[in-house]
Amino acid sequence: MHTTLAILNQKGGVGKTTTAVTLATGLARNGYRVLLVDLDTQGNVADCLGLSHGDDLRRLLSPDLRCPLQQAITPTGVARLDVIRSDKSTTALKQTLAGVTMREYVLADVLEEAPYDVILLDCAPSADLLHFAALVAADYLLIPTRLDKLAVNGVRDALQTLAALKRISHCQVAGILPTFYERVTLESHEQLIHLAQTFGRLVLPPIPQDTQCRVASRYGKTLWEYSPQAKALLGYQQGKRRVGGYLQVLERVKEWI
Amino acid sequence: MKNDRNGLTIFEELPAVDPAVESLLGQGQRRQVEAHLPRTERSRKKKERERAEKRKPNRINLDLPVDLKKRLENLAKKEGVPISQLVAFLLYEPVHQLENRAISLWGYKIASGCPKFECNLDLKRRADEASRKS
Repeated sequence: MHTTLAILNQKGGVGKTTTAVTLATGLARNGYRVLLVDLDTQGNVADCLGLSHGDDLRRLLSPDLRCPLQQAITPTGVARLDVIRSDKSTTALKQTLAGVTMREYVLADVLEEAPYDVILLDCAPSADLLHFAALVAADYLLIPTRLDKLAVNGVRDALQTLAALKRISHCQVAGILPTFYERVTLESHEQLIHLAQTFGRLVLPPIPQDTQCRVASRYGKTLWEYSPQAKALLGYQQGKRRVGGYLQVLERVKEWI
Repeated sequence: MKNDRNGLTIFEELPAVDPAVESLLGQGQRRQVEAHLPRTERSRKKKERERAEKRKPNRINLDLPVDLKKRLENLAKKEGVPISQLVAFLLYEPVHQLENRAISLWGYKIASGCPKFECNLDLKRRADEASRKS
C-alpha cells in the first residue's frame, strides 16, 4: 500500500518541481521505494534528473495505448526512484481524456497497484483535467508557495479546487511549504506571519532562497548530489541548529507515510 | 497581526505552528526591532548574539555552595588540573549510580517556592552526611 502525495499550486514558478524532485530523491535515499509522476507538459522533472523528455505519461494514461505501469516507468539512476516522464504529448493526452467518462479517476486507477511506498505527483500550474485526477489519486496535498501575495492567493485557489472535489477525493491538505524564503526581507517575514496565522501547523519549515537549486537543475542533478551543503537543503544556521530547508521538510513528510 | 508605532508587524496570538516556523518568525521579528535601534545599540546586540552563539554546547553554569567551590578550587590547584575536568571526573560515578537507582535523591528533596522547579535539594544535609561518613 502506498502513500500518494500531490504537489500542487495553480501559480507557476513557486518551486513545485524542485520540491517534488528533492523530496522524491530524499525519500529514495532514506530507503523508500518512490515513483515520481510528472503531470506537466513542460517535462521539467526529466530535466532536473538529467533525463531526456519522454511520453511515459501519455503511454500510461491514453485510453488507446494504456501500457502497463512497469513499461511506462523510467529508472532515474537514483536507487529506488523511478519516474513517469512527461512532454508536449501530454497536451494531446489531455484532449483525448476530455472525452473519456470517469476521467478524474484515470490516474488513481493506474496507480492503484503500483509497487511503491510513496508516489509523488508533480502537477502543472493550471487547473486542468490532470490536476483534478491528481487530487482524486492523492492521499495528501502539499502546496508550495512563494512568499508573495500572488503566490499565496494560489494556495487559496488550490484549497478551493480541493473543496470542489470533496465528493470524489479523500485527499487531505498535509502542508503548505513556503519556498524562496529570504529571512532578511520584510515581505517574506510578513507573508510568513500571514500564512502561519491563517494555516497554523499546516505551514511547514520554509525553504531558503538558494541559487544552488537553479544551478543543480541546469546540470541535471538533484540538490543532494550537486550541493549537499546547500542552504535550501540544510536550512539557515540559527545558533547551533539548522532551521528550515528540505531536510527538515523531509522529516515532516516521513511522518505522513 | 498588528502594527506597532514603528510600523513593524508584530505577530501575536499565533495559533500552534511548526517549531521551525516559530523560530524563524521570532528571528525575523528580532531583526525588525533591531533595525530600528541606534547604531551603537544595534552593534551591542549583535556582539551579544555572537557571544551567545559561540558558547560551547557542553558548557553549563553551576551554582555551588561557597565552601564546596573553595574545596574544588583547592583540589584542582593541588592536582594541577582544570577545575571543570576535576568536577567531570568526580561526577561520573554518582551519575551512573543515580541513573541505575543505586542511590536516590529521596530524603533530600524539599518543596521549592519557585514555579520552575518542583523541589530543591537539601545540600546542607548532604554536606553534613558526607563529612560524618568521612
